[in-house]
Amino acid sequence: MSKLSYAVKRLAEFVVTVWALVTAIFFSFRVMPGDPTAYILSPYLDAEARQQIIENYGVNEPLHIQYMKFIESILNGNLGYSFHSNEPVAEVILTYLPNSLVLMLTATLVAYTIGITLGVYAGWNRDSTGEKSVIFVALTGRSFPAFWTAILAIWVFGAYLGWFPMTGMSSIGGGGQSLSEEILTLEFWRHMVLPVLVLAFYYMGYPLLIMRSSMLDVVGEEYINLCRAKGVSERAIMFKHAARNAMLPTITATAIAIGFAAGGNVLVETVFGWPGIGRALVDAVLRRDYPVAQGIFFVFSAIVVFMNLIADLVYGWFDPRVTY
Amino acid sequence: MLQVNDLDVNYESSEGIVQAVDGVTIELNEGENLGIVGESGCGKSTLAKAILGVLPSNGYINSGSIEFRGTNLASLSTREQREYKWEEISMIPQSAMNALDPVYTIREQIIEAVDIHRPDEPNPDSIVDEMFNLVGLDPNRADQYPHQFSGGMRQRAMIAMSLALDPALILADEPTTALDVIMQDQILNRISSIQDDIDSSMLIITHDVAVVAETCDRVAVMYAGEIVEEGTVDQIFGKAYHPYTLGLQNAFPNVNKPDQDLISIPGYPPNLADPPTGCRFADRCPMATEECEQESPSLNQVDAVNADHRSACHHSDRIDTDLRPKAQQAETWSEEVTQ
Amino acid sequence: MSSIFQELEDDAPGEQNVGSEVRKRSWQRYASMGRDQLRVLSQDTLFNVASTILLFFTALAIVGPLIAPHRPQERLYKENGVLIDQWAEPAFMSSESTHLLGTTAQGYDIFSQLIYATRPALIVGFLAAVLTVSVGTSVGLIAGYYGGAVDQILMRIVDFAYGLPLLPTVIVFVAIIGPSFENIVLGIVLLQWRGSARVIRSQVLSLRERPFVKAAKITGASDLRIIVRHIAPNVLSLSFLYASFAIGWAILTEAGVSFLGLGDPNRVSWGTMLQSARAYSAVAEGAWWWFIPPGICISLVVLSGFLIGRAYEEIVQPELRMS
Repeated sequence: MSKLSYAVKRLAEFVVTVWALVTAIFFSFRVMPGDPTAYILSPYLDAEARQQIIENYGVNEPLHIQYMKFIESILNGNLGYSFHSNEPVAEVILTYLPNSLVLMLTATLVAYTIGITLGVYAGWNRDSTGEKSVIFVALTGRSFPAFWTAILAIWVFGAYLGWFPMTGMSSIGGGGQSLSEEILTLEFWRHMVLPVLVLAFYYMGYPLLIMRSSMLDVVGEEYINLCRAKGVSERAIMFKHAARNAMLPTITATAIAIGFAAGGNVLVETVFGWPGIGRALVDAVLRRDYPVAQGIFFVFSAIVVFMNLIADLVYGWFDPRVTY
Repeated sequence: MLQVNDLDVNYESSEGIVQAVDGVTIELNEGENLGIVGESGCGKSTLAKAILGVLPSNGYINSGSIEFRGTNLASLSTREQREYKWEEISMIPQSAMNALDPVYTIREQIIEAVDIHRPDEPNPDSIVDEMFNLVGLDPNRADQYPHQFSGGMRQRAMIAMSLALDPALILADEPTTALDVIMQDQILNRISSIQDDIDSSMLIITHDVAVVAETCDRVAVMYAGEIVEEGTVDQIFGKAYHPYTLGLQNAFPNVNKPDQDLISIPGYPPNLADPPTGCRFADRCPMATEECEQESPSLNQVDAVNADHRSACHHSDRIDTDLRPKAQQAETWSEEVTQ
Repeated sequence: MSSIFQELEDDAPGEQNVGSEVRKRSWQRYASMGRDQLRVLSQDTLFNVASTILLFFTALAIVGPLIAPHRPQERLYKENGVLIDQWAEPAFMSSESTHLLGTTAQGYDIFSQLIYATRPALIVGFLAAVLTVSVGTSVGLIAGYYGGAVDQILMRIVDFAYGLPLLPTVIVFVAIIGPSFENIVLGIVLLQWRGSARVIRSQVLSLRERPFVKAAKITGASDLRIIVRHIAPNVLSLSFLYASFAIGWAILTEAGVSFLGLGDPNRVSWGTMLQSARAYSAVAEGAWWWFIPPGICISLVVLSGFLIGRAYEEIVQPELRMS
């Protein structure tokens, strides 16, 4: 099977998985206890509007008809309307998703760069004090609740030292600009520093441990020994040969992490008051704003599944042994 | 060309210090092939690694010297050693599949060696092509990855890489162990024919005496970290003068006597973390006496005529009369006799 | 772990008879395997430290309510009995305070809350870990052993579970079903089993091809017997490993859910303490004795779980990929 037909096959699987997700989301929101119409009818509507919507969505019709209409509307890009603000859900998502993406992708970049590099050194220098302390730091980062680290960071760097702003994505009075304009300001990046550091501290452990584990497998291989016999320098062996081979599992993990970045991090966003999609999802759920919750859930899951697909394809590009 | 003098190589392990190579002295002259024969764990691989300078981090040369054309490699710094690696001394490892980095092409891996030692080489690709032709591989395939080669082809690619810088000495570590019999034959033939073309000498490390018999001029037999017998191939295979060598030959099938049972030497080699005083083969030797258990024998000339045939046995003078006539009978090696 | 394989391969295939005696031997094997592993582990300092910490907190969970000076939601008053003793500083900071760690904005004793919160934390941790790994191991065993359609279906379900983000899903689940302790545990288990399922399945796939399994099949051993007698012991180490990590993940998830206000309203947990601290702007008030201790407790317990898992991983071959 050539690379192209494999990609097509995986794409088809992707569509099927997304369809399964959509179906699952549809049914799960409807089998929950409580008034089934609560998922479609906003409690704020008056009688006439309710009737209109009941007809549109076919609430009183059998489930499978509702389902067909649901699928149809999704294919049209219509994810429904927010109960809370009456905005199209798609717009709500587009408001909050980029905020999260900027934050999370930056944090992921920082975390994975540091994590992978430290992982290479840790795997190469097994049983050294350096390795043990690195692992300890990685595990500690994973053990602190992210929201608590955030509180600590705000307390130390914000309240105590006053180096960084304590909340929000932009300073008061500086709002009103679109994200793409904001990114270019220094203020924005000042606001980013603490949340990025907190997130990176939390995320760093995973790639570090994977990379280290991978390196340990590779270091014992015969070709490493042969490189030494050839006279290759230790440093070149560590990066060119060992790390290059050990990278392969990490690549998959990185691609998937990027996928999860699309979901934001509700805890950190809440503590920092960052208007991200993680927080938006939880707020929607708490407010019973089901169209928004449903829409965000769907978009996020679709991105995760998509990145899984990308991870597979990218892996094949890096590892010449993979045949399709 | 290569003179190993009284070499001691130790490993640090959880059981203590393992004396993997103990007082080994061998020499290899220009243009000849030397075979080192012994069972697993006898220290021959460690010896190879010490010569190549690729001992693992818990291994070290305790004493002795490795003189290559007059320079003691053991006394050099890592950087100085690097100049000898691959350019003067290269290796053919046991398993070519594992010895080739799977994410780089063969060409890239050979050129890596060239770039390190001959950075000013104008045309490294031509070296790759030339080597591939020498081993009978299509040079166009040099741009493929190791997993795309068959087993035998990989081994040939390995040989090509080992020859790339025209080394004076090639160390072959179990070159045929991972191959089936037919491929063994092919590889050995190829090695022989290549040696006619180039000037390298070879140090072949193996547990397969047949390989040694076919390719080597001289042989050294190793047991438990020590050399127990050495001589020319004719001498060793014609008339061995050490009980272990005799026992070793029994373990290989004899084409002329197809019905003969293979006899193995009962017992196990000693634990090198705590080696016995006296001769290390004593507890498995049918000729052992109390002297053998007390005193370690040294390599001495076997007879007055051949100065280069030496054996480390207290009773080498009795081998002609006491052991050789019945060496091929199973009872000679039974448990009761050797206890 | 060659000792296990040795024993299992020595096993004479013909003993289908004496059931209870065979079962007893199985337990003896598990016990001796556990003892061996414990002996090796206890040489690792980090493991010892982590185990001590965990044992300490377990003890605290058990006897906590007995030794805590106050009840967690007992409003405390100042000496005159009228004014609520809120925002009191810890005893080591101000001489007039009688509270070890001060009080909250509502006048509750922080130290007592900290102690009382140990119990729910550890229950969540252990319970969720045991359930998660049990489900995951079972699924992995069945999928890996039977293969075919069963495997495909189960793995699609696992893939699906992987597509759902942990915290948001648990939050949604708890928000809809109701914020009680049991529901939080249920929500966690609902997704967490996915990790161990995948890893156990891989292990079973490779074990399935081993000679001793094939030998058992040929001699007519039933599937159940093969799974229980031959395969399960060899994946048990992996299960334990996952369990020790799952403890940490469960506690962190519960803390997160509670922090967002969806925790069990009738129980005080470290997460709810932090939620409370935030709600009353403890950071702005500088009351670090309120928001630091609960976080430290969470971190210590979770870190101990991870360190134990790490130490265990070092002795279990092959090296795992955490997923």
